Amino acid sequence: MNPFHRILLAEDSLQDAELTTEALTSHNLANEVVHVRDGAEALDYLYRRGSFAGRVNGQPAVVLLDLKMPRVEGLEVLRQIKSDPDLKLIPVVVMTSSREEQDVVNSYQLGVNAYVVKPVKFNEFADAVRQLGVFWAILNEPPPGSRSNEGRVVG
Amino acid sequence: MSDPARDSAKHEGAASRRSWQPYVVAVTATAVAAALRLWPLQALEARVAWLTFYPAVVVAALHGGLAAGIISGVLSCLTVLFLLPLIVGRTFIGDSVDWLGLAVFFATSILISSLAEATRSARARRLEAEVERDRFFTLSLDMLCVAKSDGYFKSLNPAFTQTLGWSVAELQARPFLDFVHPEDRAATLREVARQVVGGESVLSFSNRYRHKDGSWRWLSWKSVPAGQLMYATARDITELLRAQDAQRQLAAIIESSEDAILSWNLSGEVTSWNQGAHRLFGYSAPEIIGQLLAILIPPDRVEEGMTALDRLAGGGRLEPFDTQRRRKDGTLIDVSVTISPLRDASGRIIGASKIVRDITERRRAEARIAQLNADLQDRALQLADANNELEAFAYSVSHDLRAPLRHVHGYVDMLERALAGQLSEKSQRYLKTIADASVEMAQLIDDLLAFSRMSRAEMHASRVDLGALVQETIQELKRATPGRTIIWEAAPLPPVVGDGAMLRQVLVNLLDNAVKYSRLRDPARIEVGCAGQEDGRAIFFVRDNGAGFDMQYAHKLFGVFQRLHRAEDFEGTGIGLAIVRRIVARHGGRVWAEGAVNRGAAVYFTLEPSTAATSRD
Repeated sequence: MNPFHRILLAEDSLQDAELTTEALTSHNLANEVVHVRDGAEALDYLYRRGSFAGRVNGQPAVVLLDLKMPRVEGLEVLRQIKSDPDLKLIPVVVMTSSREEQDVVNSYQLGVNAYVVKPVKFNEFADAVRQLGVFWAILNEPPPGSRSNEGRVVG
Repeated sequence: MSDPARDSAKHEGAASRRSWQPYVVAVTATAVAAALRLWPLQALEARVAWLTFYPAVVVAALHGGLAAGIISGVLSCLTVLFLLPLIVGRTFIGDSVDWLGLAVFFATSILISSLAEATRSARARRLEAEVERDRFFTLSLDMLCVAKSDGYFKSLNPAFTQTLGWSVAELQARPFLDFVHPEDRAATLREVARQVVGGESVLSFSNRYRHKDGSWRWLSWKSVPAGQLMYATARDITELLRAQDAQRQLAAIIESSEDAILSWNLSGEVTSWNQGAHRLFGYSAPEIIGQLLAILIPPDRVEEGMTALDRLAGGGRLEPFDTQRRRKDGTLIDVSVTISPLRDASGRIIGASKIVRDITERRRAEARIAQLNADLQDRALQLADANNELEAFAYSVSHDLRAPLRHVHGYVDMLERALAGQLSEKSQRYLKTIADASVEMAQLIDDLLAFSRMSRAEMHASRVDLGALVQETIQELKRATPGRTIIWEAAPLPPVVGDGAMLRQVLVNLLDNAVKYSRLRDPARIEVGCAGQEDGRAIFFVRDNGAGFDMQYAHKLFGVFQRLHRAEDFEGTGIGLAIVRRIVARHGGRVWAEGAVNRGAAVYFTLEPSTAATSRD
């Protein structure tokens, strides 16, 4: 059995989430995706509080983070992850529509591990997501404590 | 020239010497007369012995005056009465006639002595008067002289030497007209003639005399004629005239000043008033001189006037301060005031002077400037707001407009796969059109954002090697166009001042266009060069032998999303040249194009050439 790792997808758009999941399905990575709808939920998940207080142990192998989200936006989530000694080892990939220079610069200054602009063409988009999934969830050796023992928590 | 102090000491010494001398002379003369009587006049025997003594009395009186004469007379009588009889052994005064004769002698002696005394003292007084006159003549600080009608000075006092530098002898050696300024000679001759011929006095006449050092001195003359002589006094008024000139100039300056300049005395009465004051306050000088200055001060500022006076009493000058004053017609004017104390020759404060400047215009200008500044700040704020809104807009476009397009494309793709094999050809074409449209719109959004970014981005000016940028761009394009034959002709280009990243974008867009529109040429020819200067800016151009364009649409070429070719012929959204124009405009240059359909196009742009002084690398 493949040592699959969980992917935390922080994405407010249901369509984008569906397209992302669709792209990951072909590599059987979709089952490992935890989808949260905004930054606040993402932080709740990482800190195991609120509706995620009872979730399984361990942190995701990678966080795919949209920037523009309701409540707590992506850059704030990134800032909190990278400034918390317990979370800062988690790889974070910003996946967003924006190619604005300020977003790229801010993300890297906050310590993002990668910055990906979502292509408009679906085949390109699907390629990008698949590569990310394969790299971070399969090829990359994650920091300790992120191994998944059970299935997904939220669909 | 003699020293007057030493003179008078000499006089006093002589007088004390002479105080006993007359009596010696009187005694001696009497003794000589007695001796003569004894011998050789012994033949006279006892007859009229006193007669012998008359000469002694006369000599004593003439030499020594009244006292000496009387002493001589008394001694003579005593000699006749007692000494001679003692020596000769005979009485000289026998009868009453002899006594009468002796009495007459004595009386005559007193008379002679009195007359001699009178003569003597008259002479002494005359002498003293002369000495005094000479002293006055010599010591006078005014110039005194006597001139003769023959045109020479008869005498001059030393003041002339002090004033004119010439010695008295030098002044007397030549006709005085020689020393007079040529322009004043005629007038001087007229004045001399008036005196000598007409016998008139001259009370006020000025002319210039040459100083020994060559300069001219103004002398003011008063002169009285006496026969062929003229008795004259002169004063050097050169400095006075100079001071008067200076004063006249100052007065003219004050009078013509734009500022109001006025003064007042300790009673607060206006003492002087210039034209500027007339213009500013509306009062004429005759109207206000003697009036109280307070009529210029608005009632609510009387306090201020008092404080100013206190300060002045302390002798200080009041720094300029802004206040208000009242005009004759009652209106108030904004003024700037400077007050200084006025002092008399002994340093006592006798009043004050004031310079008043009308600052109504300045106030108005200041208010205008303040208003303009406020407007400018408003504008700047509005502009900053607009910029912020633009940023927010661009950001929002970047995020929110692209996402739905991605969804359209994504779901079309998934739909195609879900219906794989069930779709008619027509349906497949529809779906493809939807997908293509979403991609095209995404491209348009990207282009629009790029254009907006070029307008907003901060510029970092430095020296840019345009030639090197061209070479880099050409290499990239060569790699991107394998299989095409393109003849590149890049002339050396002068370095320019600008933002390197932006200028690279200009070259990329222009060369990209050239490559694109020369696609149908084999070989294609693309030229880059410099075409001289325009208003101190270098003109650059990129020329190709491609599709070209119709010059009547040249004005549309640089508009956003403006295209002169069909998308089927040449792909593109029409943003490239708009970006070029925006960047060149931000560098202060201009851009234009020349071309003809199927005969190629050339795009020109101007940039500031870099000089050694602006070089930064």
